[in-house]
Amino acid sequence: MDNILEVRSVSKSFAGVRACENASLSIKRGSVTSIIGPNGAGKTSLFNLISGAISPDSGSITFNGTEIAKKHPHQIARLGLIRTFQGAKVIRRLSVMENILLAAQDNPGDHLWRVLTPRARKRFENEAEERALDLLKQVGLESFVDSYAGILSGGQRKLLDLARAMMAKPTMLLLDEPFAGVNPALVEKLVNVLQTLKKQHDLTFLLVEHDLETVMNISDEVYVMAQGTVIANGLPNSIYENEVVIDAYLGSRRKSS
Amino acid sequence: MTAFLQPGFWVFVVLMAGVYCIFALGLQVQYGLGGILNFGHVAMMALSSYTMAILVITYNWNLYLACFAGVVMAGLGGAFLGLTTLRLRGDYFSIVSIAFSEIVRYIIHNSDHLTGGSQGSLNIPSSKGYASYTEAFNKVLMNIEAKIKPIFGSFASRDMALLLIVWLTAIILLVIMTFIQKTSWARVLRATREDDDVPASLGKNVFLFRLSSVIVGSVIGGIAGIYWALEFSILDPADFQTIVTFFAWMVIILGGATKVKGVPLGALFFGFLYAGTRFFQFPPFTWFDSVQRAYLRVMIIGFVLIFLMLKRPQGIFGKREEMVLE
Repeated sequence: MDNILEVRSVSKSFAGVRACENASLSIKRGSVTSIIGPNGAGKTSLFNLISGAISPDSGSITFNGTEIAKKHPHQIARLGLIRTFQGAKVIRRLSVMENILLAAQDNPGDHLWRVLTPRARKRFENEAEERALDLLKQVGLESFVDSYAGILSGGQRKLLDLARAMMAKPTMLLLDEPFAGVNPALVEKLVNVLQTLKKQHDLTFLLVEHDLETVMNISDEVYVMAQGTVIANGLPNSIYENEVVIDAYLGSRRKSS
Repeated sequence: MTAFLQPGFWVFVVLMAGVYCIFALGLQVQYGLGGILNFGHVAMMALSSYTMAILVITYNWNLYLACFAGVVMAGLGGAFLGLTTLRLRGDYFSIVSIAFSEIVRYIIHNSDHLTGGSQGSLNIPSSKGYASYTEAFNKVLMNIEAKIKPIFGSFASRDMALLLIVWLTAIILLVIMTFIQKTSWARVLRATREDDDVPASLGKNVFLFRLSSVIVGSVIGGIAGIYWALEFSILDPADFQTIVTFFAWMVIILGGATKVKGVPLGALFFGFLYAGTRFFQFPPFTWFDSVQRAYLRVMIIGFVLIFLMLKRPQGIFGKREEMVLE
């Protein structure tokens, strides 16, 4: 298996505070990889670096063989690397359907002059709506199509966020704490949806997550970050036994048990 | 009280409501869709009207070509404003936009040899010895006036002819904007009103969407400027003070910022309110002199706005959910 994403010794500091230091990752195509680590370890910063929200002071990031370290977020998204945000950001004052349609790529209607070609716009829009409806059915939100996204519960927002990310036809998804603040039944549902989508679309996943049980269940590989750098990586089981990881993250509770 | 009874006065009120309708429609594209708080919109009116006047008076351009050039100039003004400042966060953009419109006004005020300076367009250098840009257009209006005489009777006038042209333009623009609002371009803009990161993470170049909405709004504002210039036949830098921008804001707040169809209604409402308060010639209003009463009018409009915000924050036509939903 080749690597779809390569992060090589990336560093970033904000006014002297190191958010990331010499962080490196290699993500295999078609795998599920998770990043764990204490709060403030630099996990989300690393996500922001990969997705282009911030640009690194040094190091390189390649996605599908393209250097993306200096690219803007929208350029990276167009390459098929789509991210979600902590706490599931939905556009509250757009309907659920409109939220999903936002993600449709190469929409001719995005260009203002296309107001002159209503037929081409309409055709694209109809197809997109059909696909969006399929995705909504898959995550079980079809009854909310025309509701404002603002009325959705936290869990439903996560589902919408995921469906919206899928609408962009990604080859790789970055999910920032997809299971945080979600009840166990919904975690199960989310995991099921993720696994179905992965199979259907040949996706690669990179997750930041605190829910260790779920991480260990679904991940092919786990990276552990602390103080802005990667301190360990390997198969889920090996992480549990790693002394460095126990000290930095899992804590003495694990050690004694 | 006499003006109150004259049809000509009311024709003027509706005509100006039409100009404000077009002018405010430019803001609606920016604020109603993209949430962009542009407080310098009046600059686009100043740019288009002065460009047109200078090209006709000094350079003897054909009026229509000059009008077109004026509107293009307003679009360029919007592009300049957007390119230089749209990367600023929302409220900072608003402050810079006010500064932009004041800079434009001061440049016009102080460029005597180009714009006529503080004496207005009458002082624009002309080879003919007199400075008028409405000659060609007045002939057109006179023709229209003659044609509408049988229909409108005593209402037929230069203003009535211009009123028809202005409202026809307004309706065409309203229809175009209604179509534009249904595109995904508008949808992305409505998303950026709330959040930049989400549309960017889905492959949308947020800056370009914002910039294009400012340019479109500026072009529409420029069209309003042309009609303003044609109605008054003279331009004065003092016509383009920041307060005019806020008149347009009143229009879209009255009409409901998120809906295109609210704009003409808001404009008519504002027009009648602004002109109508002129006729408060009974106590307690007569306790004040005319200058004080002029300010009182603006205060009354302010009270109506506050009342409306309390009772109907979405405006006459707006979608309440889009305004108050958290």
